[in-house]
Amino acid sequence: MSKILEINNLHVEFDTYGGTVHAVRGLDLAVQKGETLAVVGESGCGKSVSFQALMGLLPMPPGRISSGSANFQGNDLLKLKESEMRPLRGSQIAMIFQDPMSSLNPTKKIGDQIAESLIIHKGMSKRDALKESLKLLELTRIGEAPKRLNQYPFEFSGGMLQRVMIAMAIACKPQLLIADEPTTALDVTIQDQILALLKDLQKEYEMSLILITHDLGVVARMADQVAVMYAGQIVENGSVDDIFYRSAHPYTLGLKQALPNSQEGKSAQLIPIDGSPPDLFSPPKACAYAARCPMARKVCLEKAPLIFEASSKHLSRCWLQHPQAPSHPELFCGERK
Amino acid sequence: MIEIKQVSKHFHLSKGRHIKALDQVSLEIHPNEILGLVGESGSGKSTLGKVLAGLHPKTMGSIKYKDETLPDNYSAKDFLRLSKEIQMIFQDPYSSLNPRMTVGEIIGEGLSLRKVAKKTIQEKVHAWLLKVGLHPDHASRFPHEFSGGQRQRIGIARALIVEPKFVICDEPISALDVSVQAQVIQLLQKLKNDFGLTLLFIAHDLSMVRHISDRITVLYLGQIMEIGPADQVFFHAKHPYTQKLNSSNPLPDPKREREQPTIQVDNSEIPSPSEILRGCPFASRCPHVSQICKTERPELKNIDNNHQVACHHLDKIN
Repeated sequence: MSKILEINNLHVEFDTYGGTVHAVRGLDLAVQKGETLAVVGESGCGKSVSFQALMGLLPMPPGRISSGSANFQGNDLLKLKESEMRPLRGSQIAMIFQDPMSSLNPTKKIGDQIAESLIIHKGMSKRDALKESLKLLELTRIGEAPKRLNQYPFEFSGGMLQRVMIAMAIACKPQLLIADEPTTALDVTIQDQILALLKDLQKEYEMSLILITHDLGVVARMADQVAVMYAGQIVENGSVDDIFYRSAHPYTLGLKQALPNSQEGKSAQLIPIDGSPPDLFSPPKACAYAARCPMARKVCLEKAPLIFEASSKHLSRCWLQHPQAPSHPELFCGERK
Repeated sequence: MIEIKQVSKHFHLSKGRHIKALDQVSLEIHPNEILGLVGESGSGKSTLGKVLAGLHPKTMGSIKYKDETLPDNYSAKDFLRLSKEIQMIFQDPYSSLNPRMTVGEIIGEGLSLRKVAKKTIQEKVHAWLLKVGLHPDHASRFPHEFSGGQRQRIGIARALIVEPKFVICDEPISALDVSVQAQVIQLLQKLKNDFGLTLLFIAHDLSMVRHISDRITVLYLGQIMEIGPADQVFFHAKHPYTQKLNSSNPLPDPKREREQPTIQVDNSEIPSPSEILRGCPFASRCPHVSQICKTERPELKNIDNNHQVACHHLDKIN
């Protein structure tokens, strides 16, 4: 497998009247060809901002990419000029947004909106582009596709609009699809349909998929790899089984314990994570999670944690099991390497 | 404790068309239980909550609270009297708190309307701020200074300060992050036990509803499809709609998700509630549909102790 996207040390900041918000603080991430990477985290952890920055969709100012690189097929996306980004965005890399209602143009027909990227990126004539749009709509399993081409977004339900968004995104057969909370606004039965559709299209087109979500159920259903984000950093990164069954970071563990279990007859108490995420105007110098972490030790409040390799592909940003943590044996809960 | 009989709520659109948001719903809520109410958007679950709280006048049917039949249209007096018994916690912690009132005024409003002495109100507000995990100093602040989870706590304190017996929680956690959801759920469970409350818990997150509820009611297009003990409905659903909901619900467990048989995905949409429906509302999406489903409305049948299902083909399906 080869890497399709590699992000290194991405920092995104926002200048506001109250000071600088450090929204993304050193993001490292890689996506392999054809696999699904889920990026999980709570609101404000920087998961959406990271990928908006990557796509050049961040309003700057107030946003600012202060350092980092993002290698996509030999190009550093963060260094590209807008004119160089254009042929990539929507063609090689496509994006689906959370709220399809506000992401589509309410005054243009659905068919024209899908055709737009084909005309721009592929140089198709309008007629061919509309024909292709019909095929794409049928691919997303929308009922009565020919009729739908000539309708406007307000005539569609939320689930149907999300299908239109997907049709637009896959129009140019992108190699990487970034889906930012694609099903959060939808009912479960419709979510089920959209997730199945994404899975099928991904297989057919051999796309890589980055799925940004806060729903661990969706992650379990869709992901190969998972990155857990907290306060602008990835705190744990590994295969979906590593993350769910061999969680190495206390935050991941906390998220899991805050969810109801699904075993008949047993209903364990939910264990909430106390406190709230740190203020990103002045993020803590040491571990960002230490203030809420039930396993925090002295070192967690003093020194930024190094990356601990639980296995070659399972990384955790935590002192708990790290061999280089100051050696007070009583500080450790996990096994030492 | 509450007996809902054949309650319907119609909303009128233009030209004599109307939406049947609730269609002959009958339901009992027992004292001291948590009844979960699930359904997709447009199923009428919020409408039912608002009808129970008197915020929507009902079109037909009757609701009995304890031994009293509740009025169809609440007068100001009815609200003052009944809001001491029945309270509601709202979904959106951002729009449900008046931004120009301090938190102390918001929480204490129910008492000041009842002419309680200022001093007593202040003391009670402070006590309730502590009970919901906030600080008494917060009383002088405004809602915008709080996070979503904290606002929901304010909403809970506001509802409970008048010491109601029955509380309607309308999607109290769906706007919150996972870790905060657990905080609010834990708080609700604790308060329920401390004060012997009866709760109607409306949500669309099946796993969470199953976790907190004693019984679950499944609503679809304004009609009850299935009602029964939480585990029965979650693990041994009998109605094809409930079965569909359950299999759609993604579980945070990759192994179980992988093992789940891939059933043929259907791509049906939820019909608009303004369409006039005869027969079973689920007929247009049901894999077991037959002629009778399209013409005759199935009745809720007892299949077990407290477990009722509205489906023509129960024997065939299960």
